[in-house]
Amino acid sequence: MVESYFKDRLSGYLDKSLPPEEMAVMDEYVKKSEEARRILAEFRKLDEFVREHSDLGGEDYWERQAQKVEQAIGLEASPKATDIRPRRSRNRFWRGIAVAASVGFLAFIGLHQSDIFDYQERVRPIPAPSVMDQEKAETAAEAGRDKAAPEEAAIDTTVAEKLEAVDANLTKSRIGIPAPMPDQKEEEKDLRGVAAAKDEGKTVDVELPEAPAVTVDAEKEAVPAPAMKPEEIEPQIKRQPVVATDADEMIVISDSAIAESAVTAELEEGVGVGAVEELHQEAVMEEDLVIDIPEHDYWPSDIPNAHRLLELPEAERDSVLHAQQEARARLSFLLTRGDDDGEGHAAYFAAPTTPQEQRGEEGVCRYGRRGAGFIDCR
Amino acid sequence: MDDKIQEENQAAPVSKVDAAMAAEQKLIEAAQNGDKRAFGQLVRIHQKRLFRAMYGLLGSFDQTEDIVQEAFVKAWGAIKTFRVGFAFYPWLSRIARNLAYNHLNREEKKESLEKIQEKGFNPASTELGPLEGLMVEEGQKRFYQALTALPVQYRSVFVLRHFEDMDYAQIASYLKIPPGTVDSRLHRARKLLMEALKDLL
Repeated sequence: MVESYFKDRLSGYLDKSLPPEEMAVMDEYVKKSEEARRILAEFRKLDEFVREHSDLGGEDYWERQAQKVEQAIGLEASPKATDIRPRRSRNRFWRGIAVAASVGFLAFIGLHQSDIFDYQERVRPIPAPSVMDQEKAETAAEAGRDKAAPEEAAIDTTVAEKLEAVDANLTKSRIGIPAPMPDQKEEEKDLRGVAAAKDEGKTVDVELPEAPAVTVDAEKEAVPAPAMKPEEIEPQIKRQPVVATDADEMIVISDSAIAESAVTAELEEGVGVGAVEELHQEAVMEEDLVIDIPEHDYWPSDIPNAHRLLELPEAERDSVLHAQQEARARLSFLLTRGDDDGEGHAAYFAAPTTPQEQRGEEGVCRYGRRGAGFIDCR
Repeated sequence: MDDKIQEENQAAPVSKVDAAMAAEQKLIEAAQNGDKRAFGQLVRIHQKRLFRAMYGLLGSFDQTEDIVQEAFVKAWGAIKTFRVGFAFYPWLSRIARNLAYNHLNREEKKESLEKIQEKGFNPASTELGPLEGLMVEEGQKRFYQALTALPVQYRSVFVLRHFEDMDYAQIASYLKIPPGTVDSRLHRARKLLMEALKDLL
């Protein structure tokens, strides 16, 4: 029996929900009991497991549910169509960006080709010296006609070697050795140009071919996408019936049949705040009332009951009360079945409206049919 | 330096929470001014958590779907009465819980604890139905099977504590049971779940 008492409180101990004196007793018990420590360790593991595994997936499902709610509150389904359109225009936007980037890239290459292709593009391609020219040059050099220009005189051997290689290639092509591919030919041409330029010791700008013009069919792009009918987009979403509420105030109605005989009553500011328990008890005793009151409307979430207000420090309590008065809270509740004559009564317990008031006000109100409100309270 | 990093790390979640709260308050204000799309965003923010809690209370996918939708519709009808500055979820959840309990009462599905206990606790044979489609891994399925198989009295207390973050006094007040009963029911709920999930823990 004693053991069971302690074990039943292990959850409260783990959640630190016990009063301080009980926590102290449980501390002692846990220190002594190995089994209690084992159970606590298991509970901690379980809590961790629940945190990790209780979230639900299925994003599509949640989106469909949200759309159902939106439809139920009267938001037209057309937004679906507009959901699609931005995507189309996004696609168009990215397509435009891609085209612009391509044009920009080609223009960049055009403007910076000398940097990009280094020396190949710093010189204008000059026709490579033919074998005849080379022979002439060699003859001239041999004849000592080339006296000045030490750089030229000292045609470096690497260039000469390159020229020899080029000539050798040309000769090979003439005698039926497969010609190099066109781009390779261009490369050779460039090399020859480089060689010549090096020979002349000058830099020549190269004219690059213009970047191919990219045409964008603007007219085609500007054609608006055909509007999609909502049912075409997501036919599975059906309009949900709107659940009728009986008043602007927060009332909870179990179903429409009950609502027909329902009576809505209101207590004006200063009378009806709190009282949920009392009203429920009354409802249970009488067995002819079901009263549902959204407590949260009238109390901050951390003060679920009137008696808790009295436990607050005075300054905080005053501030709560002030907020409460400012809000001119009105208590609305639904009485699902009234008396035969359409009148009924309900007990109420009003929260204290001043810190000095310990209990608040109690009484019984008679109520009339829907909209009539309370006839009197005593 | 380390202290500074630590401070920043500690500050980050707080500012995130604040930012989320501020964004939510803006949505609430917009919804109070009739902006249905803003309310739609609030639905998207809270529907998963609300569904999870209501499923825990009702133990039926179809009923939960109906109750959650009805709760959102009622919340929309009453959005003007919501006091800006307070958290939205507790208010919303209260509406949904009232609906759920009304439903349970009306349908007389609140069987006596003894009657349920007679049936035994068989998580493995518990059918989850469409809920299974929202599971991405085995642990989730096993957990929800075990939760659904719990007797409703234990399940309610467990859900209010773990999914609704209510303290024991709040649970006691809400369910109109003594705080000691909250303790013992939660203890038994945990023990049964432990038993069902022991190979995964």
